[in-house]
Amino acid sequence: MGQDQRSLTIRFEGDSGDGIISMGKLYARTMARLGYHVYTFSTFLAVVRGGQVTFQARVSNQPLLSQGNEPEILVALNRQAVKDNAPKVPPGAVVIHPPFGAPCEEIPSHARALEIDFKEIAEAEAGTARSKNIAAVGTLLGLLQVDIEPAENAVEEIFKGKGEDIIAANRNALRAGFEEGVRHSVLCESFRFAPEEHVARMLLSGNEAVALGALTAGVRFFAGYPITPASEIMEWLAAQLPKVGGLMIQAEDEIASLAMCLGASYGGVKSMTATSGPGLSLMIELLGLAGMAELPVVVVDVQRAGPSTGMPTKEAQGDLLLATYGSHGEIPRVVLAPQTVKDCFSQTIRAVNIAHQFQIPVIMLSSQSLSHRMQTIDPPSFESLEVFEEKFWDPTSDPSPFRRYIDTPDGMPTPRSIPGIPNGMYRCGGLEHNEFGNPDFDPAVRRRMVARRLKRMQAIAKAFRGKTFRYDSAQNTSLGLMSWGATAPVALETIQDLEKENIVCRALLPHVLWPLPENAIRGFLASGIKTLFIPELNATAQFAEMLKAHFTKELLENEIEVVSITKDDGLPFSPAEIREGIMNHLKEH
Amino acid sequence: MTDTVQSDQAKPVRKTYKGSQRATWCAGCGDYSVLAALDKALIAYGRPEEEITIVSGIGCSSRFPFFMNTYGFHSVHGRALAVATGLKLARPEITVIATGGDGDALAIGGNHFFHAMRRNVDLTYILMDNQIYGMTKGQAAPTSEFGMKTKSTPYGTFEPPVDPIWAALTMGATFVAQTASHDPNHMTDMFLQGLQHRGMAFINCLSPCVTFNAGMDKEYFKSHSRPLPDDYDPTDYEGALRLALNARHEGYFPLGIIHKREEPTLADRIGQIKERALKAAQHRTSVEQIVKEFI
Repeated sequence: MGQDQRSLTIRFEGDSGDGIISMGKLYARTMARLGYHVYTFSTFLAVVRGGQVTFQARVSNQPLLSQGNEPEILVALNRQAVKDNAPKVPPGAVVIHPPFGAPCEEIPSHARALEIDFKEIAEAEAGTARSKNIAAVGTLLGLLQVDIEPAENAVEEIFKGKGEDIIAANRNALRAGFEEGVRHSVLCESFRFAPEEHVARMLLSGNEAVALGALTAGVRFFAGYPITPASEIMEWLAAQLPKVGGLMIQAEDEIASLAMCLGASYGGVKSMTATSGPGLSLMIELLGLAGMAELPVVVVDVQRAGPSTGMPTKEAQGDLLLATYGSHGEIPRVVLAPQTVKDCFSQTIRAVNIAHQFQIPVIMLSSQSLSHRMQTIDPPSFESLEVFEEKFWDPTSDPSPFRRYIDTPDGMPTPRSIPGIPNGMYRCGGLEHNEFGNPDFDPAVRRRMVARRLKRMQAIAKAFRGKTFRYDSAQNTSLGLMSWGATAPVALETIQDLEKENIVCRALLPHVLWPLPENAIRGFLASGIKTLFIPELNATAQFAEMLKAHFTKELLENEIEVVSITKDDGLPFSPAEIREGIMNHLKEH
Repeated sequence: MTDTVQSDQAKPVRKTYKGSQRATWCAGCGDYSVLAALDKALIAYGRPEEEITIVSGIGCSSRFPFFMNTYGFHSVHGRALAVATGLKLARPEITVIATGGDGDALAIGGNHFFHAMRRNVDLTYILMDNQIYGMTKGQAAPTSEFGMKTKSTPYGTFEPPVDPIWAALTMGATFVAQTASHDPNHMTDMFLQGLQHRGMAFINCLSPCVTFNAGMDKEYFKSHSRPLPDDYDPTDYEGALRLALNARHEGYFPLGIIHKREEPTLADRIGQIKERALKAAQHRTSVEQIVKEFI
């Protein structure tokens, strides 16, 4: 890192009709094009209209690990937004709001209020109050005194196809807002910093990154069923897959989604589906079939707050045990969890690779905050990307009847045959079978097949060795932290901040959750830590319980106390919340 | 998608498509006739066995793929049509046949039945209808006659049955036929025509379960079925609906091709979508180019 890290957190909030999300995206896109690293978070109610909408965007001169804490600039488009957010803003914060007829008493004395009538600007410049959100973004950019050109281009792209008049009106609203912002820019002087380099990065959401990863990894068949917060994966692929020779079909339910994927996978085409918790629940029987028949497939679960319908638009990490253990009987499988938008891209490619390399189902656990958050990432370099291509059975290699399920010493699968390959005909399915794939309930065959499936897991574990992300400070410490998914980077930022106060903590943040990366975890538990913090977004500490069950001996031998930091309120952790969890424990001991 | 399998050589004549596994149905089960008839139809159809996949769900009749020397996928209960749809879309050049029973198709798999029919997936779907759950030893099925006493309906069923012909017709199948295991030649003919049809070919086979629904044996189906009238026009959709309704009211099973029409298949329609997508994208086809849309 060249410069010291600087960041600025802005929160846009208003009524669902105020265009909050478009506003946030316009600001985020502009800042990404100016060379800033961007990290956003949005939340809204699961209703089509009505209710508060929030969009938070944090920008920095360095890569970001979290959405930040309370905003330094609050853009509140309605009274409720001021009431809910203003009391918590940090000292020096600026609260921008339209006139409400009376002063807002909620704005603390340590913050500064800036009253601007966006509606009036929009009506004067664009001829319609609808452009008030564009005017507000203009004002913000003016306050920050950044180059307005990327925003003008972005406005043009947003309204492309709606006619020159509409584009011109919105450009005017943007400029007028900008000039208004420049007039008050002294208020925001301390928030200004330059990006490290003026490189335009990709700005995309977790769901878009998953879809792009799938496309890159060679997925050419996708079947899905609409569900919040995963639908964008399906929608994006519906548009893109036909361009590269693939297809997306909207199935009649999640069961059909996975069944179709398995049909396509049996046909030798890389297949994927994406859903959320309720859909994963429905898919569990077919997941077992994929494990039994040894069919490669990727199931993305964009977790949301359960149980049952729960809170569809809210964040949670409550599906870990379902993803890991869900199935009657026992199947080989891999569970991966991306932590960032960049991971959503790279871990999806990894998931597809693993599925085909080991001929198993792979479940990828994303989550709501990750799915809708937009983050800047460097464009991928396609030359260095590893994409696994399965080699199918060669019919000239062996004249005897094709044996699909032959045991190998290392537990690795042998090449599959697919329809169209002469002499490779075999039957797959969910029944226990012999090496030809035919039903066979003989105890000796059963023992061999159970062992075969277990051995596959060992082969996978071996292949993953030494690839777990670990954070170690130069100093020794008795504090350790493990976390997963969207919570992991927030936890990392927290411990990096704590280090400045001489509270040192190691961290192990695995992407592979099943099979648990045993060597990495053993090494971490033997690194001298005595307290192990595990923040995660569920009420029963699912990951911590998994660790306790599988590493009882190591935890006892090293005298490690596991301290779970959990919450399940529908919102992601902020660094402050994880810090509070750690500090509360340290105070008590 | 994988390249089309081209078989340039003259059609190989095969003696049988049956596999080395012997069928394990009860002696006298109607499904034996279905197996023999499909074998004969495939011999006449003449595609190499590696270009054929039979997909099934769960139940006695769903064991079908294991008795054939083609590719086969014995999936889970009710999901045969969804699996078959996925395979057919991914590999349109493969002949995909789905097989199963009435419970698999119309109870647990009812949702997929509906959508496979309306999508006009290019499949041949052979439903072996015995009006009972045989594998689980004799519970009521969705096609069980109203009032029928079974293990799960000791006082008689209290739900009216599903008519598979009516269901397939109204849900949009472009080939709907009914045949019975007491007439193997008719069955072979229906299967062959089903295989040759472009689109969803649904063939309901009256296939008695001699063990758990002994009252509905070959003789019962024989005496309760009728061939279609000589002047019957299967391309007349409304006529087909009237026939199905009448047959239900009069309590007989019409045998033959009840309806047949030409319509674009799901794959045809998807082909058009691909063209449209490429046109909209001005023939940008690489992932590398798609990435640039995010900057």
